[in-house]
Amino acid sequence: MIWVYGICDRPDMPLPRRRGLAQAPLDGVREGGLVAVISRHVHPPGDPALDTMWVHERVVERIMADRTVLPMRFGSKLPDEGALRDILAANREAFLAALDRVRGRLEVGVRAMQPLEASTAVDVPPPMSGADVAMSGRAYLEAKLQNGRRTDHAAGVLHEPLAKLAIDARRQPPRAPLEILRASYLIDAVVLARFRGTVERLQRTHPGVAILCTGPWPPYSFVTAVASVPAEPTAGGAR
Amino acid sequence: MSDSPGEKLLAAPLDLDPFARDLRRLDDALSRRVDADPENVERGLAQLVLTIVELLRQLMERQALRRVEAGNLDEETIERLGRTLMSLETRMNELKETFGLEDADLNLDLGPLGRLL
Amino acid sequence: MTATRDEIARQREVALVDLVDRLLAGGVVIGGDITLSIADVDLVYFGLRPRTPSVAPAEGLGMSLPAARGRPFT
Repeated sequence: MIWVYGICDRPDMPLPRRRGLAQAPLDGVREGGLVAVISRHVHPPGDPALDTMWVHERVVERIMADRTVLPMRFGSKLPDEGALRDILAANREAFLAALDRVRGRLEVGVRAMQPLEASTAVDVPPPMSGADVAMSGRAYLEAKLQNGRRTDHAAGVLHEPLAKLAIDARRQPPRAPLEILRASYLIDAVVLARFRGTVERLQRTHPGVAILCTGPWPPYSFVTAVASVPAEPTAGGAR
Repeated sequence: MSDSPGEKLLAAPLDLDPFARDLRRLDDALSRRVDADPENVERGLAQLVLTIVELLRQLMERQALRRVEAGNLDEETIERLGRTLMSLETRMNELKETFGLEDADLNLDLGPLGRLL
Repeated sequence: MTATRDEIARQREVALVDLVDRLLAGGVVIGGDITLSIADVDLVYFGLRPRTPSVAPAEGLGMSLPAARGRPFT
Protein backbone atom coordinates (compact mmCIF):
# COMPACT_ATOMS: atom_id res chain seq x y z
CA MET A 1 0.00 0.00 0.00
CA ILE A 2 1.06 3.56 -0.42
CA TRP A 3 0.74 6.32 2.10
CA VAL A 4 0.16 9.76 0.63
CA TYR A 5 1.48 12.94 2.22
CA GLY A 6 0.54 15.58 -0.28
CA ILE A 7 -0.12 16.51 -3.86
CA CYS A 8 2.27 19.07 -5.30
CA ASP A 9 3.34 20.98 -8.31
CA ARG A 10 6.86 20.95 -9.77
CA PRO A 11 7.04 17.26 -10.66
CA ASP A 12 10.40 18.09 -12.21
CA MET A 13 12.01 18.92 -8.87
CA PRO A 14 13.72 16.15 -6.95
CA LEU A 15 12.01 15.08 -3.75
CA PRO A 16 13.54 15.71 -0.35
CA ARG A 17 15.73 12.95 1.02
CA ARG A 18 13.81 12.95 4.27
CA ARG A 19 12.24 9.71 5.44
CA GLY A 20 8.53 9.26 6.00
CA LEU A 21 6.53 7.05 8.34
CA ALA A 22 8.28 3.94 9.60
CA GLN A 23 11.48 5.36 8.15
CA ALA A 24 10.31 4.58 4.63
CA PRO A 25 11.86 6.67 1.87
CA LEU A 26 9.74 9.19 0.04
CA ASP A 27 8.82 8.72 -3.57
CA GLY A 28 6.76 10.58 -6.10
CA VAL A 29 3.95 9.48 -8.35
CA ARG A 30 3.79 11.86 -11.25
CA GLU A 31 0.78 12.46 -13.46
CA GLY A 32 -0.26 15.41 -15.56
CA GLY A 33 1.86 18.15 -14.05
CA LEU A 34 1.29 16.94 -10.53
CA VAL A 35 3.36 14.83 -8.19
CA ALA A 36 1.97 13.00 -5.22
CA VAL A 37 4.49 12.42 -2.46
CA ILE A 38 4.20 8.94 -1.02
CA SER A 39 5.92 6.23 0.91
CA ARG A 40 5.44 2.54 0.27
CA HIS A 41 4.59 0.03 2.94
CA VAL A 42 3.90 -3.64 3.17
CA HIS A 43 2.22 -3.36 6.51
CA PRO A 44 0.36 -0.27 7.67
CA PRO A 45 2.96 2.08 8.99
CA GLY A 46 2.85 2.16 12.74
CA ASP A 47 0.37 3.31 15.30
CA PRO A 48 -1.78 6.34 14.65
CA ALA A 49 -0.27 7.86 17.71
CA LEU A 50 0.55 11.51 18.09
CA ASP A 51 4.22 10.92 17.34
CA THR A 52 3.34 9.33 14.02
CA MET A 53 1.20 12.29 13.15
CA TRP A 54 4.06 14.60 13.93
CA VAL A 55 6.38 12.59 11.65
CA HIS A 56 3.78 12.86 8.92
CA GLU A 57 3.44 16.59 9.49
CA ARG A 58 7.17 17.13 9.27
CA VAL A 59 7.21 15.42 5.89
CA VAL A 60 4.48 17.72 4.62
CA GLU A 61 6.27 20.78 5.97
CA ARG A 62 9.56 19.70 4.42
CA ILE A 63 7.86 19.37 1.05
CA MET A 64 6.21 22.73 1.58
CA ALA A 65 9.60 24.33 2.11
CA ASP A 66 10.37 24.29 -1.58
CA ARG A 67 7.10 23.80 -3.42
CA THR A 68 3.36 24.23 -3.14
CA VAL A 69 1.54 21.36 -1.46
CA LEU A 70 -2.03 20.24 -1.03
CA PRO A 71 -1.70 18.33 2.24
CA MET A 72 -3.60 15.07 2.50
CA ARG A 73 -5.82 14.12 5.36
CA PHE A 74 -3.92 11.88 7.73
CA GLY A 75 -4.47 8.26 6.85
CA SER A 76 -4.69 8.70 3.10
CA LYS A 77 -3.73 5.30 1.79
CA LEU A 78 -4.20 3.62 -1.54
CA PRO A 79 -3.55 0.07 -2.65
CA ASP A 80 -1.16 0.98 -5.44
CA GLU A 81 0.22 3.63 -7.77
CA GLY A 82 -2.43 2.95 -10.37
CA ALA A 83 -5.18 3.97 -8.00
CA LEU A 84 -3.29 7.15 -7.20
CA ARG A 85 -2.73 8.00 -10.85
CA ASP A 86 -6.42 7.56 -11.50
CA ILE A 87 -7.23 10.06 -8.80
CA LEU A 88 -4.62 12.52 -9.99
CA ALA A 89 -5.95 12.27 -13.53
CA ALA A 90 -9.60 12.51 -12.51
CA ASN A 91 -9.05 15.60 -10.38
CA ARG A 92 -6.25 17.26 -12.28
CA GLU A 93 -7.98 20.58 -12.88
CA ALA A 94 -9.25 20.80 -9.32
CA PHE A 95 -5.82 20.04 -7.90
CA LEU A 96 -4.10 22.58 -10.14
CA ALA A 97 -6.64 25.23 -9.21
CA ALA A 98 -6.23 24.44 -5.52
CA LEU A 99 -2.46 24.68 -5.83
CA ASP A 100 -2.91 28.14 -7.36
CA ARG A 101 -5.10 29.13 -4.44
CA VAL A 102 -2.55 28.18 -1.80
CA ARG A 103 0.68 29.05 -3.57
CA GLY A 104 2.87 31.24 -1.39
CA ARG A 105 0.35 30.96 1.41
CA LEU A 106 0.06 29.22 4.72
CA GLU A 107 -2.50 28.48 7.37
CA VAL A 108 -2.65 29.94 10.84
CA GLY A 109 -4.95 28.77 13.61
CA VAL A 110 -6.55 30.93 16.26
CA ARG A 111 -8.46 29.84 19.33
CA ALA A 112 -9.86 32.18 21.91
CA MET A 113 -11.31 31.19 25.23
CA GLN A 114 -12.60 32.81 28.31
CA PRO A 115 -10.61 32.02 31.39
CA LEU A 116 -12.35 30.31 34.23
CA GLU A 117 -12.49 33.27 36.59
CA ALA A 118 -16.13 33.92 37.28
CA SER A 119 -15.71 37.66 37.08
CA THR A 120 -14.83 37.63 33.42
CA ALA A 121 -16.79 34.60 32.26
CA VAL A 122 -20.05 35.28 30.50
CA ASP A 123 -21.33 31.78 30.96
CA VAL A 124 -24.54 31.36 32.84
CA PRO A 125 -23.61 29.13 35.73
CA PRO A 126 -26.47 26.66 35.85
CA PRO A 127 -28.15 26.08 39.18
CA MET A 128 -26.41 23.10 40.67
CA SER A 129 -29.33 21.55 42.48
CA GLY A 130 -32.91 21.71 41.39
CA ALA A 131 -33.71 23.87 44.41
CA ASP A 132 -32.76 27.19 42.85
CA VAL A 133 -36.22 28.41 41.96
CA ALA A 134 -35.30 32.04 42.29
CA MET A 135 -34.42 32.20 38.61
CA SER A 136 -37.47 32.21 36.41
CA GLY A 137 -37.62 30.26 33.20
CA ARG A 138 -37.69 33.45 31.20
CA ALA A 139 -34.71 34.91 33.02
CA TYR A 140 -32.79 31.72 32.33
CA LEU A 141 -33.48 31.95 28.60
CA GLU A 142 -32.76 35.66 28.54
CA ALA A 143 -29.42 35.06 30.21
CA LYS A 144 -28.58 32.42 27.64
CA LEU A 145 -29.49 34.79 24.83
CA GLN A 146 -27.35 37.51 26.34
CA ASN A 147 -24.53 35.06 26.72
CA GLY A 148 -24.80 34.07 23.10
CA ARG A 149 -24.86 37.63 21.90
CA ARG A 150 -21.84 38.57 23.97
CA THR A 151 -19.89 35.57 22.76
CA ASP A 152 -20.78 36.27 19.14
CA HIS A 153 -19.79 39.86 19.57
CA ALA A 154 -16.51 38.93 21.24
CA ALA A 155 -15.78 36.44 18.48
CA GLY A 156 -16.46 39.06 15.84
CA VAL A 157 -14.23 41.58 17.53
CA LEU A 158 -11.37 39.12 17.41
CA HIS A 159 -12.12 37.53 14.05
CA GLU A 160 -12.64 40.64 11.96
CA PRO A 161 -9.19 42.23 12.07
CA LEU A 162 -7.64 38.82 11.49
CA ALA A 163 -9.90 37.98 8.58
CA LYS A 164 -8.92 41.31 7.03
CA LEU A 165 -5.33 40.13 6.82
CA ALA A 166 -6.30 36.79 5.30
CA ILE A 167 -7.13 35.53 1.84
CA ASP A 168 -9.70 33.20 3.32
CA ALA A 169 -10.95 32.16 6.73
CA ARG A 170 -12.83 29.22 8.19
CA ARG A 171 -14.67 29.51 11.45
CA GLN A 172 -15.98 26.57 13.38
CA PRO A 173 -18.79 26.56 15.88
CA PRO A 174 -17.42 26.78 19.41
CA ARG A 175 -16.68 23.40 20.91
CA ALA A 176 -15.64 23.86 24.48
CA PRO A 177 -18.00 25.66 26.85
CA LEU A 178 -15.73 28.66 27.28
CA GLU A 179 -14.58 28.82 23.72
CA ILE A 180 -15.24 32.05 21.89
CA LEU A 181 -13.49 31.58 18.59
CA ARG A 182 -11.97 28.71 16.68
CA ALA A 183 -10.78 29.66 13.22
CA SER A 184 -8.23 29.01 10.51
CA TYR A 185 -6.85 31.72 8.29
CA LEU A 186 -5.15 31.36 4.92
CA ILE A 187 -2.60 34.13 4.68
CA ASP A 188 0.16 35.16 2.33
CA ALA A 189 3.44 33.98 3.82
CA VAL A 190 4.73 37.54 3.89
CA VAL A 191 1.82 38.56 6.13
CA LEU A 192 2.71 36.13 8.91
CA ALA A 193 4.60 38.60 11.08
CA ARG A 194 1.84 41.17 10.77
CA PHE A 195 -0.79 38.57 11.59
CA ARG A 196 1.08 37.53 14.66
CA GLY A 197 1.47 41.14 15.68
CA THR A 198 -2.27 41.67 15.30
CA VAL A 199 -3.01 38.68 17.52
CA GLU A 200 -0.65 40.05 20.14
CA ARG A 201 -2.32 43.44 19.93
CA LEU A 202 -5.77 41.88 20.30
CA GLN A 203 -4.55 40.00 23.34
CA ARG A 204 -3.29 43.20 24.92
CA THR A 205 -6.51 45.07 24.26
CA HIS A 206 -8.66 42.16 25.44
CA PRO A 207 -7.05 40.86 28.60
CA GLY A 208 -10.31 39.13 29.54
CA VAL A 209 -9.88 36.47 26.90
CA ALA A 210 -7.06 34.07 26.23
CA ILE A 211 -5.98 34.00 22.61
CA LEU A 212 -3.88 31.25 21.13
CA CYS A 213 -2.32 31.39 17.69
CA THR A 214 -0.55 28.42 16.14
CA GLY A 215 1.19 27.88 12.85
CA PRO A 216 2.33 28.15 10.24
CA TRP A 217 0.54 25.06 9.05
CA PRO A 218 0.14 23.57 5.59
CA PRO A 219 -3.27 24.69 4.28
CA TYR A 220 -5.26 21.73 5.67
CA SER A 221 -8.44 23.68 6.24
CA PHE A 222 -8.57 25.10 2.74
CA VAL A 223 -8.23 22.00 0.60
CA THR A 224 -10.90 19.69 1.98
CA ALA A 225 -13.40 20.03 -0.85
CA VAL A 226 -10.93 19.50 -3.64
CA ALA A 227 -11.09 15.89 -4.71
CA SER A 228 -14.08 13.90 -5.75
CA VAL A 229 -13.68 10.23 -5.17
CA PRO A 230 -14.60 8.05 -8.12
CA ALA A 231 -17.65 5.97 -7.22
CA GLU A 232 -16.87 2.36 -6.64
CA PRO A 233 -18.76 -0.58 -5.21
CA THR A 234 -17.42 -1.64 -1.85
CA ALA A 235 -17.53 -5.01 -0.21
CA GLY A 236 -19.38 -5.31 3.07
CA GLY A 237 -20.25 -2.24 5.07
CA ALA A 238 -23.46 -2.70 6.93
CA ARG A 239 -25.83 0.21 6.87
CA MET B 1 10.21 24.12 9.64
CA SER B 2 9.76 23.14 13.23
CA ASP B 3 11.66 20.51 15.08
CA SER B 4 9.12 20.19 17.81
CA PRO B 5 5.42 20.93 18.03
CA GLY B 6 6.03 23.53 20.71
CA GLU B 7 7.56 25.80 18.09
CA LYS B 8 4.16 26.12 16.47
CA LEU B 9 2.91 28.58 19.03
CA LEU B 10 2.96 32.01 17.45
CA ALA B 11 1.14 33.75 20.27
CA ALA B 12 -0.01 32.21 23.50
CA PRO B 13 -1.40 33.20 26.88
CA LEU B 14 0.41 32.34 30.09
CA ASP B 15 -2.03 29.61 31.03
CA LEU B 16 -2.21 27.05 28.26
CA ASP B 17 -4.26 24.52 30.20
CA PRO B 18 -7.67 25.33 28.68
CA PHE B 19 -6.19 24.91 25.22
CA ALA B 20 -4.51 21.62 26.00
CA ARG B 21 -7.48 19.95 27.60
CA ASP B 22 -8.46 17.82 24.63
CA LEU B 23 -5.12 16.24 24.27
CA ARG B 24 -4.96 13.64 26.97
CA ARG B 25 -8.20 12.03 25.80
CA LEU B 26 -7.00 12.15 22.24
CA ASP B 27 -3.70 10.57 23.08
CA ASP B 28 -5.32 7.80 25.08
CA ALA B 29 -7.78 7.04 22.32
CA LEU B 30 -5.11 7.06 19.65
CA SER B 31 -2.82 4.77 21.57
CA ARG B 32 -5.71 2.58 22.66
CA ARG B 33 -4.76 3.07 26.23
CA VAL B 34 -8.36 2.91 27.29
CA ASP B 35 -8.57 -0.51 28.86
CA ALA B 36 -11.58 -2.74 28.95
CA ASP B 37 -12.12 -3.08 32.67
CA PRO B 38 -15.80 -3.09 33.57
CA GLU B 39 -15.75 0.28 35.29
CA ASN B 40 -14.26 1.94 32.26
CA VAL B 41 -16.67 0.22 29.94
CA GLU B 42 -19.58 1.43 32.01
CA ARG B 43 -18.15 4.90 32.09
CA GLY B 44 -17.64 4.74 28.36
CA LEU B 45 -21.25 3.78 27.79
CA ALA B 46 -22.43 6.53 30.09
CA GLN B 47 -20.28 8.89 28.10
CA LEU B 48 -21.93 7.82 24.88
CA VAL B 49 -25.43 8.09 26.25
CA LEU B 50 -24.86 11.41 27.96
CA THR B 51 -23.32 12.81 24.81
CA ILE B 52 -26.48 12.06 22.91
CA VAL B 53 -28.63 13.52 25.66
CA GLU B 54 -26.44 16.61 25.77
CA LEU B 55 -26.71 16.94 22.01
CA LEU B 56 -30.47 16.86 22.20
CA ARG B 57 -30.49 19.31 25.09
CA GLN B 58 -28.37 21.75 23.12
CA LEU B 59 -30.50 21.38 20.02
CA MET B 60 -33.63 22.06 22.04
CA GLU B 61 -32.00 24.97 23.78
CA ARG B 62 -30.94 26.50 20.50
CA GLN B 63 -34.39 26.06 19.06
CA ALA B 64 -36.01 27.59 22.11
CA LEU B 65 -33.68 30.57 22.06
CA ARG B 66 -34.38 31.17 18.39
CA ARG B 67 -38.09 31.20 19.06
CA VAL B 68 -37.78 33.48 22.08
CA GLU B 69 -35.74 35.87 20.01
CA ALA B 70 -38.22 35.72 17.16
CA GLY B 71 -40.80 36.88 19.67
CA ASN B 72 -43.56 34.50 18.71
CA LEU B 73 -44.03 32.78 22.03
CA ASP B 74 -46.37 33.86 24.80
CA GLU B 75 -45.09 34.58 28.27
CA GLU B 76 -46.36 31.35 29.78
CA THR B 77 -44.68 29.23 27.14
CA ILE B 78 -41.41 31.07 27.53
CA GLU B 79 -41.52 30.56 31.26
CA ARG B 80 -42.28 26.87 30.90
CA LEU B 81 -39.63 26.34 28.25
CA GLY B 82 -37.05 28.07 30.39
CA ARG B 83 -37.85 26.06 33.48
CA THR B 84 -37.79 22.80 31.56
CA LEU B 85 -34.43 23.56 29.97
CA MET B 86 -33.07 24.77 33.26
CA SER B 87 -34.00 21.57 35.06
CA LEU B 88 -32.66 19.54 32.16
CA GLU B 89 -29.36 21.31 32.42
CA THR B 90 -29.30 20.75 36.16
CA ARG B 91 -29.98 17.07 35.69
CA MET B 92 -27.24 16.80 33.07
CA ASN B 93 -24.77 18.39 35.47
CA GLU B 94 -25.74 15.90 38.15
CA LEU B 95 -25.28 13.00 35.79
CA LYS B 96 -21.94 14.30 34.60
CA GLU B 97 -20.81 14.61 38.19
CA THR B 98 -21.99 11.08 38.98
CA PHE B 99 -19.90 9.63 36.18
CA GLY B 100 -17.00 11.98 36.58
CA LEU B 101 -17.42 13.37 33.09
CA GLU B 102 -16.63 16.86 31.95
CA ASP B 103 -17.96 18.76 28.99
CA ALA B 104 -14.89 17.89 26.98
CA ASP B 105 -15.66 14.20 27.48
CA LEU B 106 -19.07 14.56 25.89
CA ASN B 107 -17.84 15.47 22.47
CA LEU B 108 -17.45 12.56 20.12
CA ASP B 109 -15.70 13.23 16.89
CA LEU B 110 -17.42 11.83 13.84
CA GLY B 111 -14.66 12.53 11.35
CA PRO B 112 -16.08 14.17 8.26
CA LEU B 113 -19.34 14.77 10.08
CA GLY B 114 -17.47 16.93 12.51
CA ARG B 115 -17.81 16.95 16.21
CA LEU B 116 -21.07 15.95 17.75
CA LEU B 117 -21.36 19.08 19.85
CA MET C 1 13.73 33.17 30.55
CA THR C 2 13.84 29.51 29.66
CA ALA C 3 10.61 27.56 29.74
CA THR C 4 10.20 24.91 32.40
CA ARG C 5 9.74 21.33 31.45
CA ASP C 6 6.04 21.63 32.25
CA GLU C 7 5.66 24.66 30.07
CA ILE C 8 7.38 22.91 27.21
CA ALA C 9 5.13 19.90 27.60
CA ARG C 10 2.07 22.11 27.64
CA GLN C 11 3.21 23.96 24.52
CA ARG C 12 3.69 20.68 22.78
CA GLU C 13 0.24 19.50 23.81
CA VAL C 14 -1.47 22.63 22.59
CA ALA C 15 0.28 22.51 19.24
CA LEU C 16 -0.61 18.85 18.84
CA VAL C 17 -4.28 19.57 19.51
CA ASP C 18 -4.24 22.07 16.68
CA LEU C 19 -2.30 19.72 14.45
CA VAL C 20 -4.51 16.70 15.01
CA ASP C 21 -7.60 18.78 14.37
CA ARG C 22 -6.19 19.71 10.99
CA LEU C 23 -4.83 16.29 10.12
CA LEU C 24 -8.08 14.53 10.85
CA ALA C 25 -10.68 17.04 9.74
CA GLY C 26 -8.70 18.87 7.06
CA GLY C 27 -6.60 17.95 4.11
CA VAL C 28 -7.44 16.53 0.73
CA VAL C 29 -9.59 13.43 0.94
CA ILE C 30 -8.94 10.59 -1.45
CA GLY C 31 -9.89 6.99 -1.25
CA GLY C 32 -12.57 5.98 1.19
CA ASP C 33 -12.76 4.74 4.72
CA ILE C 34 -9.84 6.74 5.91
CA THR C 35 -11.21 9.03 8.52
CA LEU C 36 -10.18 8.39 12.04
CA SER C 37 -12.36 9.75 14.72
CA ILE C 38 -11.57 9.92 18.34
CA ALA C 39 -13.69 8.87 21.22
CA ASP C 40 -12.74 7.25 24.45
CA VAL C 41 -15.27 4.54 23.92
CA ASP C 42 -14.68 3.55 20.35
CA LEU C 43 -12.47 4.41 17.50
CA VAL C 44 -14.85 4.52 14.62
CA TYR C 45 -14.49 5.77 11.16
CA PHE C 46 -16.92 6.26 8.38
CA GLY C 47 -16.81 5.28 4.76
CA LEU C 48 -16.80 8.42 2.68
CA ARG C 49 -18.92 7.00 -0.07
CA PRO C 50 -22.48 8.04 0.71
CA ARG C 51 -23.87 4.59 0.03
CA THR C 52 -21.83 2.71 2.53
CA PRO C 53 -21.14 4.36 5.85
CA SER C 54 -19.17 1.42 7.08
CA VAL C 55 -17.69 1.05 10.47
CA ALA C 56 -14.88 -1.32 9.75
CA PRO C 57 -11.98 -2.19 11.96
CA ALA C 58 -9.21 0.28 11.30
CA GLU C 59 -6.67 -2.35 10.38
CA GLY C 60 -5.26 0.04 7.88
CA LEU C 61 -3.76 1.95 10.74
CA GLY C 62 -2.84 -1.02 12.84
CA MET C 63 -5.82 -0.85 15.15
CA SER C 64 -8.80 -3.03 15.75
CA LEU C 65 -12.06 -2.04 17.30
CA PRO C 66 -13.96 -3.93 19.96
CA ALA C 67 -15.95 -6.06 17.53
CA ALA C 68 -19.26 -5.83 19.33
CA ARG C 69 -19.43 -2.12 18.79
CA GLY C 70 -19.04 -2.33 15.04
CA ARG C 71 -22.29 -0.64 14.24
CA PRO C 72 -22.61 2.62 12.40
CA PHE C 73 -23.01 5.48 14.79
CA THR C 74 -25.79 7.55 13.32
